[in-house]
Amino acid sequence: MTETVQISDEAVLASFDQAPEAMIVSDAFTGCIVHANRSASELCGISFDVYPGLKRSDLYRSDASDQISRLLAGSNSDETAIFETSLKNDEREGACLEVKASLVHNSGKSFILEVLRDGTSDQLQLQDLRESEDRLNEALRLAGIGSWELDLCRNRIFWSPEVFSIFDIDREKFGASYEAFLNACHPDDRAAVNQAYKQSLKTGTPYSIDHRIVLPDGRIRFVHERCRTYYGDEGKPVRSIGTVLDITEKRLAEEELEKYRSHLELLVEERTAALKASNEELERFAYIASHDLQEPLRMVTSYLQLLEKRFKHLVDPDAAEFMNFAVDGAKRMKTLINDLLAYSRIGTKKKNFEPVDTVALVDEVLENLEISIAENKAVFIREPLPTVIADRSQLLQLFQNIIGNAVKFHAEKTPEIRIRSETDDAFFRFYIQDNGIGIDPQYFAMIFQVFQRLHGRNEYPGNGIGLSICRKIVERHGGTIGVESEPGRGTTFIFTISRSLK
Amino acid sequence: MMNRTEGHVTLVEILLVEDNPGDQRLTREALREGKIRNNLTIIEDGESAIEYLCNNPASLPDLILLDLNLPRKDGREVLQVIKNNDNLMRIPVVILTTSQAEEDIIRAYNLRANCYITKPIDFDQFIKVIKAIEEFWFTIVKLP
Repeated sequence: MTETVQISDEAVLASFDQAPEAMIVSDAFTGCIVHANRSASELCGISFDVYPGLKRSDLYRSDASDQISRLLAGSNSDETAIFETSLKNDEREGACLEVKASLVHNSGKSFILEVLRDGTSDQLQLQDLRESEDRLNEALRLAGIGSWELDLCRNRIFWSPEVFSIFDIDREKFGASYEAFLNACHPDDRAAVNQAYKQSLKTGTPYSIDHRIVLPDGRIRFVHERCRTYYGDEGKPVRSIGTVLDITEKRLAEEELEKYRSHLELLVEERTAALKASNEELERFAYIASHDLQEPLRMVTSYLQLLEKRFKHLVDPDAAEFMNFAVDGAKRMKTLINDLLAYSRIGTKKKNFEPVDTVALVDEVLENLEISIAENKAVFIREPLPTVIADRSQLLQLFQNIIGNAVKFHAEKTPEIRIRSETDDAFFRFYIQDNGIGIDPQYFAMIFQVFQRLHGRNEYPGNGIGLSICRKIVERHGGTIGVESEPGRGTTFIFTISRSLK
Repeated sequence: MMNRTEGHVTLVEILLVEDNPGDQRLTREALREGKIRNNLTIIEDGESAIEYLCNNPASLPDLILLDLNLPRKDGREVLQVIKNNDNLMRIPVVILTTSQAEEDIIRAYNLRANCYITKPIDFDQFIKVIKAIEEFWFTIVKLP
């Protein structure tokens, strides 16, 4: 037995009246509104009680009578008619009323039940959306950016017109699937593109890649692509939305630039290597020449001396003097060769850079020069000096040559020599200042050249190799050497040592 | 090892490995100036020097004066052979060369040269050096 639950008309009416949806019931044939609930009154802004006999057509701007007629004619009572209209009393721009109408039969009479919904804001939003989409599309078009969407459930790709023009494919000829897109990629890039996209699907990170595409006529373009993927409820990727930009020109320009750059680099490298080779060659040559020159020279001096020793009593004073000159010349040549050898060795010596405390180094120099310092009663002022990275023996030679010169080329007054330093980001800068005889500025460049001397041997002894050696040592330590002076006003030698030596 | 005549003058065996005839003669002259009576054997290239040393175990020199730059096998190779041979390794080897290069000096000592001398350009100096060598190796040091 089934129990039939009786619901009173009042109860139905009450729930109809309280329903949140706006509902209107009208006579199917006369169109007279027989009942409207509270929500309908609020929506329509009308007290329906006050206007008995109000018709549907009085309410709507268009009452969709065609659709209503079809409803009435139809046999299926489940049928509904959906239409959009607006209320006659609604003055708002873009006002929209969504109506869902269905046929209801009661006590042998037919009624139209209409559920109303204010669609105005939807409509406005939709319009805004359309407008902003239009603007976006326009911006994309102007920027030459194509946009695309891949529906992963159906493997369908939507391309904007820009994408078609970038890929230079006719809309009809494009397969519109992921595979069709991959097919348009350059064969060499295909795997990388696929991998990058699949990776982004897996990790959920945006995809961004530059790759080549092949146009139907075989031309190649470079594109920059990015996309973001949206995921469904179960974390399954549903669709990817992305952009594609033609970067061919930029890429070609970059490639061109890169070509020039690498060509330039190659040129510089070649020149540097050639220069280095010729430098090394020269140094090797100087070394070998001076080394091999020593043997015959030694023969000359030694046998001259042997001759003198054994047969002096047999030769006259003239012959003895001539032999003396010959021996003297040979000995001087030997010194020159040794100097040249020392000079060439600076460059050929293996680099042996280590931390060097220049305070201790200067102390050692002063010890080495002890005799000459004492003879000349030289006074030293040494300011704090840094620890540098350098070849210790070469740095010692550098300081010793310059300080030695400062002591050697003194004037009448007591030699006073000041050693100080400055440090900047790139260099240690040393100043060795004396109050000696000074140097005429016209000779500044000359003094650093090999075997250039400004004074006679009797005045100041030396071969003119010291400062050339200094320059070479400084250059080997990434620095430069220079001089500031005026005759009679002392001399300051300034040199730098790079701070980036290892 | 030293070839001595009982109670009489000392006669030492010196091997000079040197290719330059001028230097050979100079060394001979310098040795002549010295006090110690010696018997000088001269060999001109490295290979012959090695052969000589290896094939005459009965009459080995008391001192070897070795030049570095020699034809065929150079002085460094000769030095290496001497210092790695059980019979020869105790013979003092004096490197007598023109080279002042630090690499040569270090290498010679690494190969266990007993001392390294750069030939002086001055003949009187050279005589002094040869005398000092004689003095040091034949009167001062104790050798097996």
